[in-house]
Amino acid sequence: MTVSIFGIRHHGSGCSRALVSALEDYNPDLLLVEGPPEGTDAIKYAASPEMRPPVALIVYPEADPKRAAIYPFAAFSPEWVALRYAIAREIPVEFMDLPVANRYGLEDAVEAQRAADELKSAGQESEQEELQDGELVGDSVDASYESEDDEGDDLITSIREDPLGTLARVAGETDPERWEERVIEQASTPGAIFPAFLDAMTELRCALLDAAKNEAKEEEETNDESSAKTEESALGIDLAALTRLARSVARASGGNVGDLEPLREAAMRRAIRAAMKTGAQRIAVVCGAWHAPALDLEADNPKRSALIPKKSRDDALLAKLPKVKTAATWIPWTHSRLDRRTGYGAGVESPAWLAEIWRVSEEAERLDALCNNRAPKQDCARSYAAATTTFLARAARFLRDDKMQAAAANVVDAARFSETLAALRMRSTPNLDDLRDAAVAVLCGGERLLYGSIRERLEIGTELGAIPSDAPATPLAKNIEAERKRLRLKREELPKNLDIDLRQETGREKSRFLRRMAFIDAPWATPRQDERRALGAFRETWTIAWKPEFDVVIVDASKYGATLLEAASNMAVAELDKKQTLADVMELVERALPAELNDDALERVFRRLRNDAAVSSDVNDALEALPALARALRYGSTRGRADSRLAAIFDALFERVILRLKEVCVNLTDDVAETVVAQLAQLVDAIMTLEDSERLDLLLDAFEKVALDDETSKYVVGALTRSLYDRKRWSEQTLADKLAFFIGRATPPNEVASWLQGFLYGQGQTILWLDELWRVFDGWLANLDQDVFIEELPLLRRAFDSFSDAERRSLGQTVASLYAQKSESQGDVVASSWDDPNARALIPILDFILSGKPLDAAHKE
Amino acid sequence: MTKTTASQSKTDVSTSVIRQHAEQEYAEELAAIREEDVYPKPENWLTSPKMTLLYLLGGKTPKGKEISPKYVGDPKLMEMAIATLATDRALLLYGLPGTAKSWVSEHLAAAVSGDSTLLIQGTAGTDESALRYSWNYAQLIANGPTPEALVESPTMRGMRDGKVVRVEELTRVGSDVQDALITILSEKTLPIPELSSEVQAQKGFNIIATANNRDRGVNELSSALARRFNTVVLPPPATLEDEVTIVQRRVEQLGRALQYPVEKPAVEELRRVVTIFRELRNGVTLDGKTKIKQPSGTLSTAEAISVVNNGLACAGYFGSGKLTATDLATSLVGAIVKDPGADVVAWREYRQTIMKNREDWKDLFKACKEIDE
Repeated sequence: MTVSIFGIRHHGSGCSRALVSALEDYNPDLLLVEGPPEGTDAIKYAASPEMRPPVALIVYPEADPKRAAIYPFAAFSPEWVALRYAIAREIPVEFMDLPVANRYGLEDAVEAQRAADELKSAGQESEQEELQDGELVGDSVDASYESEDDEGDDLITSIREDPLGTLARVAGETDPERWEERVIEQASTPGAIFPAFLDAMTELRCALLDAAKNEAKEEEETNDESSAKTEESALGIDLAALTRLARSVARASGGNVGDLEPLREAAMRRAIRAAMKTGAQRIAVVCGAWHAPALDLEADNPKRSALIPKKSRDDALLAKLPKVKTAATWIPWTHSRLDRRTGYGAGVESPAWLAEIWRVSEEAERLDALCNNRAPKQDCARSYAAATTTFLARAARFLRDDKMQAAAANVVDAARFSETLAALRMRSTPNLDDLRDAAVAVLCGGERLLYGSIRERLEIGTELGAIPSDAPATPLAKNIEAERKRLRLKREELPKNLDIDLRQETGREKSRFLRRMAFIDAPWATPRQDERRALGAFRETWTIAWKPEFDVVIVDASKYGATLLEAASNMAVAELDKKQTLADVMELVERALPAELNDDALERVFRRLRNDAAVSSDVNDALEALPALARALRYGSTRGRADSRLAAIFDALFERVILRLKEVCVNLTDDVAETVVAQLAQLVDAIMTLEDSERLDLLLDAFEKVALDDETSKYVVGALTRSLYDRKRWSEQTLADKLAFFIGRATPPNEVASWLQGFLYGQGQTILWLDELWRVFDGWLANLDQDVFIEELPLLRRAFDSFSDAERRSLGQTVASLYAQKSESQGDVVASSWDDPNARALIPILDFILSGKPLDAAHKE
Repeated sequence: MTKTTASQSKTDVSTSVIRQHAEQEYAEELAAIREEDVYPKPENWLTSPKMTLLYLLGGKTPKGKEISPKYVGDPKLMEMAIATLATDRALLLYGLPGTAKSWVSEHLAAAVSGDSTLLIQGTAGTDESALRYSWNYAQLIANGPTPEALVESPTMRGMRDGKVVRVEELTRVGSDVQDALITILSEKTLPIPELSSEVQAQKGFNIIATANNRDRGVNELSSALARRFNTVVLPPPATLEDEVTIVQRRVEQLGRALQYPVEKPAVEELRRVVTIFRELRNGVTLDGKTKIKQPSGTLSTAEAISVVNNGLACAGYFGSGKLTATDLATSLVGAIVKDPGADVVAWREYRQTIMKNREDWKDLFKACKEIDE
């Protein structure tokens, strides 16, 4: 019976390729893969044809789905390859690691202990006895659980997360992926790398352990000499340099290898021992390279045995560990989340590129053939060159998507160029660096910025995984799915129109559901018309279109809650913290109310609104926020949930605006004045919808006061005058009088023009027929000096901008008729001088001429 | 064009030529490199790509001979340039003025073909005959179109001999003339319709073009032509140290050639000049805290080099033999203030707000101030 350890680099496509060959050669009959044991039952779903990586295994405590542990797999991840191999060969496969149940159990216990410690230091001892188990926890969980942010700790963590990366660095290669490619290329057989990795890891860990034990520096010299004699390992790594690095790191960190690792490795060893008892003959263990030395139970290498504790010690460590009840399932994942830059510890630099090299490799083809029970194709297209050409072709396609030029001939040239570059850099095949440079020089005309704009799509990719429909779903996903079915909303990607009648219960529920989805960042439906006007009405119109990304977004949102209501409410509260101004908070309120978030969230939102409203003494803020508040109040009344808290805030802000309206209206340039006028118009509209005549009166009072004030900017005066007229506060005569007064005071012409602009703001045909007003205005215009007139002409013309041609024409006619009226009154005078009898005599003759009526004899003369 | 041997060129330095070609000045280095060159070479190349890289970036040959760096900057760019030539694609060196485009072009040609003189200077007046061929009209009229009546352009010569041809300032050339290069680059032949013949390029022929993207009146390459080039953008020096190194090295070389009777300038002087240039170029102080008005000029590294050179000349011939702030001041101001309106304001502001407040810059500040008055 043999146990073979394959220490891999997480998500390393080179390791995947080597692993396929190695497994084919070794032909195991039992496979153990590093991963949460709770996931073992879910492995069967990986066989489904609907399962498409990138996917992730999610393990969460049933009582608290928000705390989830996520284990991602890409198509090129060695662990995934191992799973597929086992499924295809129908050999038993299990995950091995410390169960998540224990991990969370330990976290809870440590937390409880910490709380107890605090209480203890505050002088209470009663809690202490209950935590006897906690001491065992304390033993196995190092004090480093409360680790200080030591630079050494970071170094250790980075080594443990990516030990092969460390090897790369020691070998002088800055990029671990390139190093991995190179090493695997140069290995005699692919499978040979695994023993080599094992040796290198053993050295590294022993060195760390030794360095931790002896702080003394004198040993260095002697140790250096002896290790200088040791071979460069099969990977061409300078083992001496590795040891030196290990020592320096260990010294810096004080040797804390930290937290859960001893437990995890003990759990893995337990799994291996159990497997050895099942009677399997060739056991294959696939794990992260770091752990490989600690799992080599059959090692005869003395260094390695030092790393492996006795079975009894392992058993003691793992006995009586606290646990919580957990559930496990698959979720879709994305390539972008595999990106190292997102903070994922085992992340890689360019998932799309790795996926591509994996896809065209022979090993992938062999694995595919195995899984699908067919013979592997001997395709000449499946070669590394295909990967490079595909990469460059995709780059060209993305450039064309962005409306830049990228000729197909250039793709060919770029491919050749990348090969030459690789040769110049002593590589047999181009790697990502060469391809990047080639793309920049040939396709992007030398501009790195242009490449940057396609880099994400090209190197990381927008790949989204899929899971089989019969796989168990996360609680939030389950909840959303149930709601969706109940409300009969279909998951269709093509946009469609959706009309909702809020008077009906189902309509209200649909609206609520869609708004909550928007809160968790999955905007399934978007409002079709200006949402604000519809807020007080009973009809809502939406455009609804499902996007596949929503599945992943829902998974993300799982950490905010197990039901849609919970998740949406918590996310709203999180969003609240990011809002700065009163208007922003108000905007959140407008979204939160129709979504009917839970009381806790609404309470916090209102509290924030109240505080902000009280604290900010800015009238501008209040003016900005008032229309939205009014709308929210109105909405409350339509949906049967008027809110007194909102009303109180509204009152306060309204008061502020009324009292200090003048502040907002003085010393404004025309542009700013336009904004203020727009806000005031909105405010008037809002109050109208509230049908609050009292408030309207108060507002108009304030308007009047400001309009009559000398200091107010003339633009605003004009606008307020218009408002007062529109709301019937001022009559037409008053208007004309005010304008005459205004003009008569030798006001500079540009101020009159401003006034007129303000007055004409917004549409409205009624003012076209304000004869008196136009008469006064016309008189003023006619009396202007010619050059002053010319100067003011542009402003005046702009004032009439909002009127259509037809309206302007009718205005012109109005004015013309003003003069006509004058002449008509003169015309009366003219008409009365006509001779009536003579005129009457003419009429029959006119009749005859015009209509042919026969004349009677009297008129014939 | 006769080639002088290494020894001959040494004696010539003091008597005749202001500036030698790269293949003459660095003949020793090139010879040493070619001797130890064991790497594969494309046909008609005198140096392998790997050793060309060594020549450009500097370092040590396997036998230990020191090679001075010609380009101080990202090695990747040089790798791309050399690989381009090896792939039979034309190379376009693009970038702001003063970023060593012509310099690199010259040295590349010297290393690859041993000849950097096949040069076409692009101007608005350049016509097709410079790129293709022209005629000896006397012969033409006397004997009709014959090969003897043909006057070869450098391009033709390069094609015949399999050498690298350099075109400087390609974007200054009129678009219709630029397009004459399209057929040459894609089919590698130069048809001569009048003689019903053609010249086919020998292996080793390639074109290195340079273009800068800042000037007005620039004729952008048509997309058909642009497609046939690999573009390598040479950026201005990334760090202060790089730029100081470049300036120092070039000043030394030029100083040797021009033989100023002056001491080598202190690195501190150079650093000050380079700092001023960088801050004005980027519009912000080196520590990133204060914004500065930018003058209209490019303030490239090449100009920094010439400022220092001018200063050295002043110091040598009119001064004390040691570079001081007064020597630098005139050429410094001259390089910065190109437009008498806005630049003067920007310069004064810089001087009064930044230079005045720097402790060890008092002498430079005073000298610059004096020029104004």
